[in-house]
Amino acid sequence: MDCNAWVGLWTFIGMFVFLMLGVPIFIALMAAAFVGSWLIGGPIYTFQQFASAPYHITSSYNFAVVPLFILMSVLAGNCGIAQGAYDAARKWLGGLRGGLLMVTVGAAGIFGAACGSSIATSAVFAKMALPELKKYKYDQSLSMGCIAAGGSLDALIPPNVGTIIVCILVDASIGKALVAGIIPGLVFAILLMMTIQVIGFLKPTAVPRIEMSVSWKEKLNALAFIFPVIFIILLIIGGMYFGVFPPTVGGAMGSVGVLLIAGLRRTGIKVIAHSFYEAVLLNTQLFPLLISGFLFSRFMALSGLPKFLLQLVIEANLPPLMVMLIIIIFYLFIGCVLEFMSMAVITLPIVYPLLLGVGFDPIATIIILVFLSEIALLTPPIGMSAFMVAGVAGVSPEVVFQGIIPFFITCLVLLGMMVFFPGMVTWLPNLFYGGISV
Amino acid sequence: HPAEAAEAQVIKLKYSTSFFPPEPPSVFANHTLDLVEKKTNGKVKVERFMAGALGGPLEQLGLASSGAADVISLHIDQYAQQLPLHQITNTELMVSGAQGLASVTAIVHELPETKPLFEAEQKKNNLKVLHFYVNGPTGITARFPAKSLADVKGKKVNVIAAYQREVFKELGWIPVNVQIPELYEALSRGVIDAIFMATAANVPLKWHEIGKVHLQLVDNTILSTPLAFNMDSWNRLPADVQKAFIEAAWETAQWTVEATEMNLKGTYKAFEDKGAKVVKISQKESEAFFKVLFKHSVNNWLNICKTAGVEREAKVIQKYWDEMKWGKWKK
Amino acid sequence: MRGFILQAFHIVNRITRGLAIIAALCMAILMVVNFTDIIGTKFFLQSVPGALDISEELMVLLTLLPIAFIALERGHIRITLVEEHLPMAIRFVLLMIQYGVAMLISGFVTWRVSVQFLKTVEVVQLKEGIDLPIWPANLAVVIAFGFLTLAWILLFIKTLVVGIERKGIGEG
Ligand code: NA
Ligand code: NA
Repeated sequence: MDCNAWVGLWTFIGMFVFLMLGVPIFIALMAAAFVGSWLIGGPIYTFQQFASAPYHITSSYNFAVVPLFILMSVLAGNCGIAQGAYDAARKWLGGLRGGLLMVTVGAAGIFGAACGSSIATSAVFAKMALPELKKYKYDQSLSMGCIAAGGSLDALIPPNVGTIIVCILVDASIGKALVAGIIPGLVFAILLMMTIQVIGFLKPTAVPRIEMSVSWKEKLNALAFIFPVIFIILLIIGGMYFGVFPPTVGGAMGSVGVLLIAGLRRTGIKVIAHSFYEAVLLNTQLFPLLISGFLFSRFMALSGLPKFLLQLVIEANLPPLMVMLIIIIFYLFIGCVLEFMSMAVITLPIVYPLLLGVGFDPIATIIILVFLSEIALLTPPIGMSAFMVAGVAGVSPEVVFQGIIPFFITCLVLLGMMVFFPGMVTWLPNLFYGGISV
Repeated sequence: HPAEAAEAQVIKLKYSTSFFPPEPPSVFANHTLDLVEKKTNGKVKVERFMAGALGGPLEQLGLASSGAADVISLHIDQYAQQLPLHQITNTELMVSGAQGLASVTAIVHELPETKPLFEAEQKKNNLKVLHFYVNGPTGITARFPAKSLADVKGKKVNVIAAYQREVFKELGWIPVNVQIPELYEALSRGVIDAIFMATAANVPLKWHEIGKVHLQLVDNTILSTPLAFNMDSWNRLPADVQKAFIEAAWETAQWTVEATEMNLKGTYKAFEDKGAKVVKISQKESEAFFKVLFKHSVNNWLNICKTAGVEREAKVIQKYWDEMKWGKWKK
Repeated sequence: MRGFILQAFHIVNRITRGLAIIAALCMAILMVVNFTDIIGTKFFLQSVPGALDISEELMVLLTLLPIAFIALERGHIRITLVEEHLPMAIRFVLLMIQYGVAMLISGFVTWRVSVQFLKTVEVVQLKEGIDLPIWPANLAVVIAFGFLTLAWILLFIKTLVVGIERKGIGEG
């Protein structure tokens, strides 16, 4: 094994130990990046990286989507819009076991059509749905796991920035790949709902059914409280599909929309001001993780560890399904720590031709890889979506990771379906674009 | 041990770029580096970190200046204040690729009056800049059935640099803020009506999938993204390796003339394959367009140089450039 | 000693809270700039010059300025799984290591970003889409990490003092 790859591996392990000792995650990542960069790149390299990265990574317009959507959801939570909607959902679906959690999954799917970032989606639903789910006695850990996993819907339902980047990297059709995510997205939503039902069957207290009788009049009255939410969603999705604005600023438009409703409801200025304050603090809980994640990714790239591991797979000359299995394990492992963009950049030029070479369909492969990178956001030790939900809920991340377990299995089921029945991915884009070349 | 001795003699260099592998600057850099490795018989090995693996577009200069990377693809327009004089090479020339290459090579690397000015600026940034590559023309991809440039008037077009707003104002285009990764969605949904960018970017970034028309201006080109060495890394190289780099860069630069031609044909074909039209803009309309563009881009450049305190040097360079940009300069 | 630390805590807490409030204002401005840009482009055919560049600079301010406040008030996200099962004495040692490492790393970043800041001042680096200097946002990065380092130092000392006092009580 190459010396740099060794350093990469040991730094990875050291980082993990630091994490388990309870060192703040971003500090553990930065410390590991520092030590590793110094050992491989030397002082000049390390000095330069730590000087320029904090500013340049943060001053990104792409990332502005995160604080803007956090702002929107905090406003919606504090102005009572989210409560109204969940109250209505409870009146209509409360009798169904796990009804509110299933509503949350459905809403995350719809929201995915408006947003291009799954971390932002997780933040939105953690803020809006968690307090409501808690109120109706849903298991906290499980709810958080479901919300984090539900965020992955965002990556499958277009638009999605990740899919676009992957297509540019491997030179595939963006339009086709975006459309290809729709059916797996819908299937994933159904699978998540089925998971909720199974959990409800096995452990009824975690996913309660609310015993109550609601008159039709009450039910119809409750619908009025759904209108604000529908208004916001239409505003964001409509604005994007009719070309008024690109996905990144959907959060800004949504926030203004929520403020408009808050104004109509005469929400106090204090509540609104406090929402901005709260949103900014939530955002700051997440961002140091992104910066340090980038620094660590850069160090990983420098060490050549991912390339080295992939080279092993290539040389082993395995049968196709074995290759796919190892690639999946590889991404779950390396995706532990790498942020999506860096991971894609380092690994795709090797992984994509490798999978195509053993006979997998290009479009199906892209969707599988995009989805794998989403799962990486859910798994310990570094899972950004899980951290986001933990940050919003004010709990330690392992509580979220624990709740994710059943939904992680759901993710694996979807992965298996896409591997064995690639038709579920390729059917729709072929219908739209014809079965010609990528 | 002979194998170990050979191993010890291998010169390892780190190359960094923020461009994706399919984008022309990366393709050109790879071409050069492959040539160098071949020319030096494996004595030089360049580790390549692409697509921003070591840093974003605005971090590349810092990587090279500090020596964190040995060599980068220098995205000149990102560093207006650090490389004010060099900014002129990032404005269009209304000439063929071959002539553009000859002009920029002359002004940066050959002409006794201008060469030292560029070298001084590189030295100030601890850089050694090799030959420029031909990046081909600028064109317009529209989602509406445009037949001429006049049809773009009153339409929404993406804007990036501040001075472009002046150009758009004079042309009657409406500037819209869209960042490059979002251009695909923005054009497809109609946030903008047209993209005004380097033609070479269309296929890698997939705009040919969604454009209805590509407006092709008359021969014009930008010279861009030369390899730039950290000065100390450069000085550490043995003379024969330096020579190999200079030769490889020059051979690649000449190759980019043909590669860009081929790439252009491929781009136009890609549009046509998707059912889009490629419309040639007349000489007259193109010239009128470049007149407006040059006025503002050169003015902008002069302002940058003035602020940086190199106005006098800029005037010397401008004397040549004014000829070059219209194709009137001859060696 | 204890009084002095509490006093220092109080002051730093107030300053970092102020930074967080500035960040909240920046978030409001970010929203307004983007909203104005969209509405302006769509209905008045007039976009905000440099809206993307302004947003990028605001992102730095709103994201990093509250970083020290988070360290003092809410705590940065961390995994407490193992820690919870350890005896008090070991937890104390772990905490000291944590704050020590955090202090060193933040201090190192503060040093490096101040070098970067000075460079942006020296060449008066501007954004591409509008003549907006980038040194203010770079200064914000220095301030943010400077206060973060200070926060860790205070937490380190506080934990140490409390730990020693507890030990004293335990022995007495
Ligand atoms: Na989406
Ligand atoms: Na992970």
